[in-house]
Amino acid sequence: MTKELSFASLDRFLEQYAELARALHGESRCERWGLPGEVFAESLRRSAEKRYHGAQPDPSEVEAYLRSLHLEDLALACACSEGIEKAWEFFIDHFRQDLRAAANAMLRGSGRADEARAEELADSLYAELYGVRSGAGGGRKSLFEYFHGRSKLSTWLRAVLAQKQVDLFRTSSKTVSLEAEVETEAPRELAGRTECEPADPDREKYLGRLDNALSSALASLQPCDRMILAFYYVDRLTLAEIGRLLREHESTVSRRLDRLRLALRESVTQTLRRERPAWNGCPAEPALDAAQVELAFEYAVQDWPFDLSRALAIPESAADPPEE
Amino acid sequence: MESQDRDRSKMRRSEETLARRLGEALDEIDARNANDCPDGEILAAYAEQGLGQAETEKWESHFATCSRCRKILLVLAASADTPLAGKEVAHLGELASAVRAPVEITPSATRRARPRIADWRIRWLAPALGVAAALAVWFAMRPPWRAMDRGSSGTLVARARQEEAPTSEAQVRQDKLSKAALPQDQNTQAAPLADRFSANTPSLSSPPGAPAQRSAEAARADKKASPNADALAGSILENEKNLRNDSQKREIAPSTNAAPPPVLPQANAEPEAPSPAPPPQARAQASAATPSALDAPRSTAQTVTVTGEAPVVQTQAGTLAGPVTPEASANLPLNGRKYQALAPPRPAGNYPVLLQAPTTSTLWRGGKGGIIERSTNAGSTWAPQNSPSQEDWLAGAAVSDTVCWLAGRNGAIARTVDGNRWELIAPPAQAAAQAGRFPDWTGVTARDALSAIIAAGDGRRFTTRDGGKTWQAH
Repeated sequence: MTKELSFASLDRFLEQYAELARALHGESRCERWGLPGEVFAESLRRSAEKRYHGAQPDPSEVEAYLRSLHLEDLALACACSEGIEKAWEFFIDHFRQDLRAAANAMLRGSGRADEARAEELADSLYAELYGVRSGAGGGRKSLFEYFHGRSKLSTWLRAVLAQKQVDLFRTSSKTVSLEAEVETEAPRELAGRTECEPADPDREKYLGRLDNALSSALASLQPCDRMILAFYYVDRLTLAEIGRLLREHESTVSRRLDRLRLALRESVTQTLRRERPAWNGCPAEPALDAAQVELAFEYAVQDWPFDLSRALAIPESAADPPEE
Repeated sequence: MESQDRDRSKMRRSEETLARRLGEALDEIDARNANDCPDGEILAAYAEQGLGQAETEKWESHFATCSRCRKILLVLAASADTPLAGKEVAHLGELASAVRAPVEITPSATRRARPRIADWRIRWLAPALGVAAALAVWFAMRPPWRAMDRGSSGTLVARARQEEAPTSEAQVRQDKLSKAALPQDQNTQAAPLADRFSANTPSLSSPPGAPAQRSAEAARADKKASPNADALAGSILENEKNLRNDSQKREIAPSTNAAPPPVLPQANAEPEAPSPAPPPQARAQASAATPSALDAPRSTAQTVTVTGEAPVVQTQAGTLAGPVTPEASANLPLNGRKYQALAPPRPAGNYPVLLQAPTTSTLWRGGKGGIIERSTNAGSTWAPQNSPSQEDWLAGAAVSDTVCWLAGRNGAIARTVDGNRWELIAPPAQAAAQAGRFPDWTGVTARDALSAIIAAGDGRRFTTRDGGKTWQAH
């Protein structure tokens, strides 16, 4: 018989964490809104349930997690979700203007700054927070129910607003003109290569080795490093913008990128300089010498349709034979 | 050395290629399933660095392959600084709306259009009449011996006869409108006139000798006033006289009497404006009639003083007429010249860095917040450029109209090699302090796109010969 999870129901939750829930109820100053203790405890339970996704963590870990929540914001959100008027008045006084300002800043960043549009974006969220859209059961379902106190309420509101704005923009920009599509699909120029030059028969082989080497290097990268690469080379963000996202100085980001590039090259070089024995059906490949490695890089600079998805489709165990 | 530079350049290129290809490939495997994307709470917690390490790594792996989530994070970060600014903006908006009430367009307003035009003219008329009245009273209050005291200034005095009929309102209005066309002159002259007027106003409690004393003070004030003040004042009243009954006799110098239609002397006006300067030697014969007491405007008993004096600069002959005072030189007509173009550019305001490319009209300026602007017409207009840094720029060096270096706070260094696109140059690692902070760069000298020397505020200097890839400390 499986043990019922601590967060499966409120009763089960209170059996284990009743005292903690009472303490947190006091810290959250729920009395300002007249929020009952059970209602607040239910919000704590939902927060923990979402955090641990059905797992059964250690009670001390759960306690630490619950204590780390933004309790006052959670209480306010809970009270608003319950429709308590005093809480709504407080929310309007303290958050609505910030919401509009954030909407304005977001639209300004996308070059579509417009007071009316910002107000419309902010107010649409406001309406969802209030819960004008009926839930499946016909009742009012407030967006506040999705706030679990893991961040400040203001940040959560901005994140939700950012999601709406990005999704709106992506939806509106999905229709692309034929000319634009043709332009984006134009093949890259092959730098330094003329049509008269005969293709090096080893070119494909070298690029293939590079594919594997880079895939291995990718696997060894930290997730944050991969994200930084995507920010810089795909989204074309500046170092300052990346720094702001990561809360680092732009010179730190710059040095990090430099180290990343260097590490990638060293990793790829080491992989290419190693002999690759036959393994799992793939033939053996000899180690490349320094000149061949440079030639491989030269080919990569010219034109290299590196397909990461193809590389990632190869199981990690098959990407590189194990070290002997 | 060159081969080393080439090797380094090649290596850097291949590093860049690998990283770029990897980034592009990450984008190509964009997450297809939107359900994998985190909700707003995870995004908010990530932005606040409130996730645990395992969670952070998990979501960062997702962000690396999901352009949607990266965009959301970017938008979220962009809105992070708004709360305070938003309140300030809202408050400012409230203030602005309170000051400027919206104009309601109503049907009755359109019907009032015609009378509104008349109201506009009448609104100009009232202050113009007031100025004329003040001038008239001032001239009336000046004793007759003032004309003799100021004989050296070559003041021409024209005095109205007492039996002069009052000027019609239309004539005065026309005259005032012509004066209103030259507000600059009036403004420059208003202060001295007011001072003289206040000096001449008799006070009930003043001692018996006060009027004379005040007159003397006014005379001193006159001498300090602009040399054209008297000419202007006289000409205003001269114009008034010209509009009155022609049958009245006036004891005014023939030269001024035969003056052309009302045109004010404009010794400091634009060159294209007609400015018949009063004859230098003209001197009106003041009538012996004593000035009347303080009369109401348009009184028949008025004393008019018309003065003509030597121009500031003698342009008719080549002989030196004397030193030109700084005020006079500032008032000289520019004849279309813009002296600002001759002066060296001086940084001001939010642009502490102002650079001029040698032998070209290309300028760059940089300042707070990493702002960079360029001008290709010697500073007449400026165009903003994308700055790779948000640090304040403190120094720079423009090598040509396409190559320029900038250096600023916290180790910020940037360079452009095409005049448009700026790239951030990594500062010398050895310049970082123990805490990892870079110094503020206060000086930059550059020879070309590759060679430059930067100087820190603490006196340390670093040189690069490869465009910032490597640095050597001095």
